[in-house]
Amino acid sequence: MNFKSLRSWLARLGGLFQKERRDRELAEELEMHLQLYIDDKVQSGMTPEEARRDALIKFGSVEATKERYRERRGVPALENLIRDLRYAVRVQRRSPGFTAMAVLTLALGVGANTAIFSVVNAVLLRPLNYREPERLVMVWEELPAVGVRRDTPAPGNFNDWKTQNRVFEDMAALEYRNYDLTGDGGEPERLFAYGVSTNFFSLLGVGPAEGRDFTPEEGRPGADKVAVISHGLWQRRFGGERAVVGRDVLLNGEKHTIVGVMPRGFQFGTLDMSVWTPFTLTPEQLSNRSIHFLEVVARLKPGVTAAQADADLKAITGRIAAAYPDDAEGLSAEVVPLHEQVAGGVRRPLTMLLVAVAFVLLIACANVGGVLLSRSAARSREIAVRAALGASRWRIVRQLLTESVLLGVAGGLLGSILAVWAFAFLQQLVPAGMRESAVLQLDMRVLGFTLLISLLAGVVFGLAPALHASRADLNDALKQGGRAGVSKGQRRLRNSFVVAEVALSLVLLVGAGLLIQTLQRLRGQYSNLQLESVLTLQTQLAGNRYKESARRAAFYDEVLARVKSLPGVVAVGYTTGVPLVRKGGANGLSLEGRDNGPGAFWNANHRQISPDYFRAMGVEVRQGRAFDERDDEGATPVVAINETMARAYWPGESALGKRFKAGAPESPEPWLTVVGVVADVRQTGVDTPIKAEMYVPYRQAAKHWQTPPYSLFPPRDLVIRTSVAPTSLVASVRDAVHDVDPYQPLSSVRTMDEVLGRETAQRRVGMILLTAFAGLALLLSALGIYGVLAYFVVQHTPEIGVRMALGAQRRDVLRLVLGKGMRLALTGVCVGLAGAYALTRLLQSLLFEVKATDPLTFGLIALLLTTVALIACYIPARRATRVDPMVALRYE
Amino acid sequence: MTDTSDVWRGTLALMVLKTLESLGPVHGYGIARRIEQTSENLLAINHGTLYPALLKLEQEGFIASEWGVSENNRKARYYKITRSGRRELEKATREWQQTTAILARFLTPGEEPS
Repeated sequence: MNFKSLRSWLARLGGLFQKERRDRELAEELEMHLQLYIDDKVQSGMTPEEARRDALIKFGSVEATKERYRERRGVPALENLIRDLRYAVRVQRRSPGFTAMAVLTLALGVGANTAIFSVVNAVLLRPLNYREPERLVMVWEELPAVGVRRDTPAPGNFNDWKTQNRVFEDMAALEYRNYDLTGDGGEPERLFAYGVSTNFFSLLGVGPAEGRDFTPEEGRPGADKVAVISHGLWQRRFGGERAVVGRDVLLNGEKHTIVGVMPRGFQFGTLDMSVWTPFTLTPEQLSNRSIHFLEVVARLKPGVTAAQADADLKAITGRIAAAYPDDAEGLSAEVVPLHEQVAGGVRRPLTMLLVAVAFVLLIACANVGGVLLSRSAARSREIAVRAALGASRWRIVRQLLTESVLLGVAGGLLGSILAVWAFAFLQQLVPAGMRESAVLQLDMRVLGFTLLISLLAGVVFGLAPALHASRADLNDALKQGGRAGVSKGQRRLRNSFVVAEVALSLVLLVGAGLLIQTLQRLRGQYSNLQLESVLTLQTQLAGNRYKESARRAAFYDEVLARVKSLPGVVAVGYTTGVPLVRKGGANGLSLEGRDNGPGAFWNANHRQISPDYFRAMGVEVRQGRAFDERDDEGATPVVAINETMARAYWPGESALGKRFKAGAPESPEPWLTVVGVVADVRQTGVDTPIKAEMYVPYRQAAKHWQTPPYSLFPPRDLVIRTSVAPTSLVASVRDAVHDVDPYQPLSSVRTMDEVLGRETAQRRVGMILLTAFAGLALLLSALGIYGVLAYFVVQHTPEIGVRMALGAQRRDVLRLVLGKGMRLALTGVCVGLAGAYALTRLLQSLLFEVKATDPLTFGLIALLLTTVALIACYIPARRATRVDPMVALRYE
Repeated sequence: MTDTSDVWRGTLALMVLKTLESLGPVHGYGIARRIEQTSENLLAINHGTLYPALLKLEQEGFIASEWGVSENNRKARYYKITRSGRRELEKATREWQQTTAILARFLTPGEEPS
């Protein structure tokens, strides 16, 4: 566009304003033109009348000139749009009730979409906060034969991968750590931490915001100890002072120098990590293939895909498995893209919610569209007049569409406000691994999406009514004088809208019903434990202060005794980890008198507990006995196992009295005698399969178990069953622990109910949302049915009057109207049942112990919907029975 | 030639600019009369077509207008050429002369191009 045309376009845009003044001036100017001409002609001898006539001939049509002038002055298309918009606003203002209903309905529809899309955007669409995140992958070990998936690799295997692979630019290992932070004058504090390879940050491509990254030397044995801290810890504990870099603090009693602070929003892993320290693998560790505790992250070489990397790593691991059958038989590896690792778990629930909100929007559109259809029938006279005055069909459609798009955009605006308001709640849908980095926000993409669906919604629900209205027969419409009925086509269209609404609602309701049941069953597994009266907290004993097992045992004994004497405490116990928090791994066992050679995969999760733990947690002893004070260091080593283990390892016989040991049969570990079989508790996750579990008394474990992995897991979690509100005991329990050791930090203080709540939070949020959407859908379809019938009754008042005058009873009228409504509703229910049958299968992976085609759910929901429909039909039907034949006939 | 064919319509802007250049500020009727006089009444323009053309020229910035008082004491809108209007006029005149010269060569009989 050159300067000349740009300038004239600007002038034309300017021409859109002050139209009246400009029109007046033009009229004046043209009138003057004629006057001057007349003056001239009169001077040369014409009569004023002749002169005027001559002037008008000479000038041509004044009106046409004005019209051409106006066209040239402004931008006709834009002016039409503005006129349509103004008119649309006026139309909406004339019927505020309808407008409010339509905007609110659409706002709920669009708002639900915006809300869910903003989560999809933050979690699935936005890249992770690392440099070229698409090239980052996690590498896991797998043991397909025993169903172990994505297990933490052993250092020896990591070392082989690192040296032999041809697909990675770089690889780093991480190790989960805990630190007690002291030595800076503040309260002792327990921190989650990662020990990391010194190349970890550079591999991710995110360096400290303050200070510096680790140097390779800092990863070598004997180097000065250094640490990088998180933005959160820096702000909270050190007040965000720059001078924290270079400062010395004690981590587990050892001096560490803080060398860097990570930027805000940096996150790697699911826990709230506060500290990263360089970690060193000793030569012994580097050849160890039996202790699996690393997390491995790698950066793909440019152009290499995750699948290629997966193949390469599987090949290397296959060689490892062949070379070290003792440690690695059957071992395989899996490469998982980092984004998949972090967000993969929510892809399905989010997709489900996206489908759900799309349904809600469709229902909202059908609803508004239906009302619009009836309204366009009422407006058919206005439209016919416009058409008679020469408005083209396209022009009429465009004007009606402008109205509906205006409604759509208004709804979208309100909807985005609703969505933002729900962000805090929706944040719970963000997986733990991106809690810091994926913040919900109304960014350009979300806004664009909202605008798009608002416009789309406007067109979707507006188009059918608009096309219908513009097709109306002019003559009929004008003759009927505005009391025009709905055409057959319109009625059919509106009916099918209602059927669709009911069907879509049914699908949503069934989905919600299945999820509600799933959640109930998940939580129900723990109902006999009465978790609401169990308080739990962690006291992780630092290795350097509690090196000797006797000291640890003394600590546990003392704490248990003190807590037990607190008023309101029913039972108290210690365990390596409470269910759902410590998820545990499987460790190999040898069963007495059984084949323990290669190929035997006897294994169990294990926990070290205090005698009263079962009572404190509410785990029932099914056979044999619980531990007691006699099971001490000097007594026969005993063990309790869960029912699953008893059934799987000693099928058809009692497990009591049987013996097994940790590790190989020839290992120095003692034989453990089974003295009790306890109820299964789903420990590793609310929906993971129950595995074999074993419990040993911590006093015996402390004495006998000197070798990893068993010696690595002394009791950590205190479990307190209370007769009063558990949280009311927090302060006194804290005092009790500090009476025993004033420097011992307490962490993760919460009720077991909270633990379970956290574990099911994501599902719960998904369930609540889906239920809310389904409820909304139900409400909208009820309104839809109601609207259609109410309109039907109004339209047929004369007919009903005639019928009643001819002797029809109220009951007949009721049956007529109800029958009409229920026919639609039941058609919708049938279509919906078929749709739900097809669609809920996609939910199966989200369900737990509920079939996606659960007949009870299907039946109940169909019944619910039918009942609601019946109520929605009954109100207009009753109104129809109140029709006074006299009034109705006079109206005719 | 008495009808306002497309060729003439296209040259209306040029005629308006030329008129304003030679007459100075003048109202719409004055422009129309001048064009007719200059063409010795061979060119009878429809006066109404003048106004959209004036608006276009003004939007393009080649002319400017203001309200004034006419010789017989009537309020009228006066148009005058702007500096960029003069440049445009020069350019258009040159192009027009070129065009007519070329056409003249085509239409003059007996002069075959060598």
